[in-house]
Amino acid sequence: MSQEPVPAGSEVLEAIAAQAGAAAPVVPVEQLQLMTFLVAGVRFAVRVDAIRVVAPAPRVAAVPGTPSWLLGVANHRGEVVPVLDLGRLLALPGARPAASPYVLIVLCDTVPTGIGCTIDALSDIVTVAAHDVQPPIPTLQGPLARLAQGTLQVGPDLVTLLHLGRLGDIGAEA
Amino acid sequence: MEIVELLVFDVGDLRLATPLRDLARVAPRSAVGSDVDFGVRLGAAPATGGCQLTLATPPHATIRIDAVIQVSRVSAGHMQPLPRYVRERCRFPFVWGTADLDQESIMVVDLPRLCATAPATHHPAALPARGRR
Repeated sequence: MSQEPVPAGSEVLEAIAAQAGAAAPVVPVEQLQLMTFLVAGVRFAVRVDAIRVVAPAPRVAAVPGTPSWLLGVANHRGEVVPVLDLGRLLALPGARPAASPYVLIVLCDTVPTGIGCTIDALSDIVTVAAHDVQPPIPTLQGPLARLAQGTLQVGPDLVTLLHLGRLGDIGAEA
Repeated sequence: MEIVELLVFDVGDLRLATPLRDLARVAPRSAVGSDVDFGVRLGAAPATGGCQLTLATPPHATIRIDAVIQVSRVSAGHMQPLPRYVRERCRFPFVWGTADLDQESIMVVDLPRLCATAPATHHPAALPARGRR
């Protein structure tokens, strides 16, 4: 009478591990890398892959006859880049004109050079899971409602994630 | 690269430039006034200074400005039109673009275009004789 070979202990463990793996496959969680920044005392976030450059605010030439939030144009590496006052565009109550030390040039499908936005301070760069970003607050209005992509908690702050690539669609009717 | 001579001038608190070849004359303000007040065209106070530009092309309209600052020569490569994004949001079609002068970007204006759309502000009696409404 023949006997079936008894599997070695290591083989049993491997089989159990294989079954466990098949039952609970590892699903990669989409991660977002965000840069947070301050404008008029309010903290916002933007996806890092939407940023072309963050630089000290350049000298801006004012263009007459444009909306007040459009500060003018600046020469950045030989290209003429529109620069706008993000605080004024978003109608933030604490926005101060021409006081921002940094400009954030963001990529925009309809503006080949990108668009410069003045900001007051860089805050930090965080990596979050995509599912941590909640839909935007429904009561937002005006340009902020059009630019808001979502909200998320970063430390103690509820931060609005902005889709600044949509800037190209704002204010053309002005 | 083509060299462009620019007349740099002030209107109110704005510093602007225009190609010198568009002008027939730069002179003190005339006693009979000007066809166009640049300050008014910008939606600001009337130009209070004492200079007047005369276009080289008919009907040789005159434009009142505040002060002539300088004439600069600049390579055409250092002049760029307004980005489309800004042009679409600017209500003044005569604002052409920028010129880089002495580490500073100055707005370049197209004066013939300004006069083509400008209403008379100072000397309406003279305009019919010059073929204007």
